[in-house]
Amino acid sequence: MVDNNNISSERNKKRGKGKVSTLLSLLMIFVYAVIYFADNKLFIESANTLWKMILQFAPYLFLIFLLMFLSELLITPEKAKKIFGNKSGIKALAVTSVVGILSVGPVYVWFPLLHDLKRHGITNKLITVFMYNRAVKLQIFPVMVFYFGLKFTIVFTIMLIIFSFFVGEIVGRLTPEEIKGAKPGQASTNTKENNF
Amino acid sequence: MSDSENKSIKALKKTWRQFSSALYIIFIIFSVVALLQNLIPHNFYSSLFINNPVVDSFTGALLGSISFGNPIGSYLIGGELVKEGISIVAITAFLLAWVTVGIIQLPVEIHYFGKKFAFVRNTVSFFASIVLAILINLIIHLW
Repeated sequence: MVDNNNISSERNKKRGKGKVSTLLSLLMIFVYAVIYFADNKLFIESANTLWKMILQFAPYLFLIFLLMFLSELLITPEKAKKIFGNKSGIKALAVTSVVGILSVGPVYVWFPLLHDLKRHGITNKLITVFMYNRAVKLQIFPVMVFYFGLKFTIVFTIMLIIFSFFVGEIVGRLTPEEIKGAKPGQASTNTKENNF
Repeated sequence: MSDSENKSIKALKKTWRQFSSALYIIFIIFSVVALLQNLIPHNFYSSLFINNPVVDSFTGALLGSISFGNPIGSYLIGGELVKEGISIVAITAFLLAWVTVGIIQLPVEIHYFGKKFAFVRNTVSFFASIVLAILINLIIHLW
């Protein structure tokens, strides 16, 4: 039986978080407005940087939206449990590492998707492995080779992937359960209502 | 309307609700990053190293943790610091912490995954970046 008090408390929490996000957005607009009058040059430079960042990451945002939609549509708790659950340890680690390496854009853009997968049963260990493997940037490999050499780049990359498993293991053990209703390696039995 | 169409529309609405909420957070982070990128001078980093590999690797990890932006930025700064004689161990720790630790994005990480996970993950990643930096350079020396 679903605990109505818990659901109501969760909803209040979400509303609170939504208000915080709106307030912080307004605060940032206020900060930029103050800078506009206090230091117009800094405002123009910052606004330009902000605009470039938005343009640069807009396609990634679309990709994230698409992946979130597909995840919502196709990934059932049973399927997610199969891919990311504890029973398929090595397979899950391999899949997570590859997805982490191939993922693009800033990590926080991926948080909603990871959070969504967490509700479907992905563990803290795998979330950590994903985040750690994001340090491997195949798309800017040549830049790293240019600055630090091929030998450094190869060792850096291989060691990083290996170390991601250790870091994931440590974080997984230290944070056995983070979100209510979504035990590590176990699909959430709670409502699928979003947590934003 | 068929069941699958209903399911798709429901999923689309739900995704949009989650995504639009995420957009607020992305906007806040972008605004902070854009402002700080223009506030911090480019030679700020090199002035913080003292040519001691142990202290410098800690400093490197610390700097990487509070830094932000595309990792290509860390390669450019790291490359310039190497040219200025800063130890490669310190630079490696800096490169690793830049991507694996995120102090600036910590509030967002807490928002999505909770305080415990965010603090533990960032703390473990911070120390891992120092250990890994030492290991990487040890392997390179032995190779």
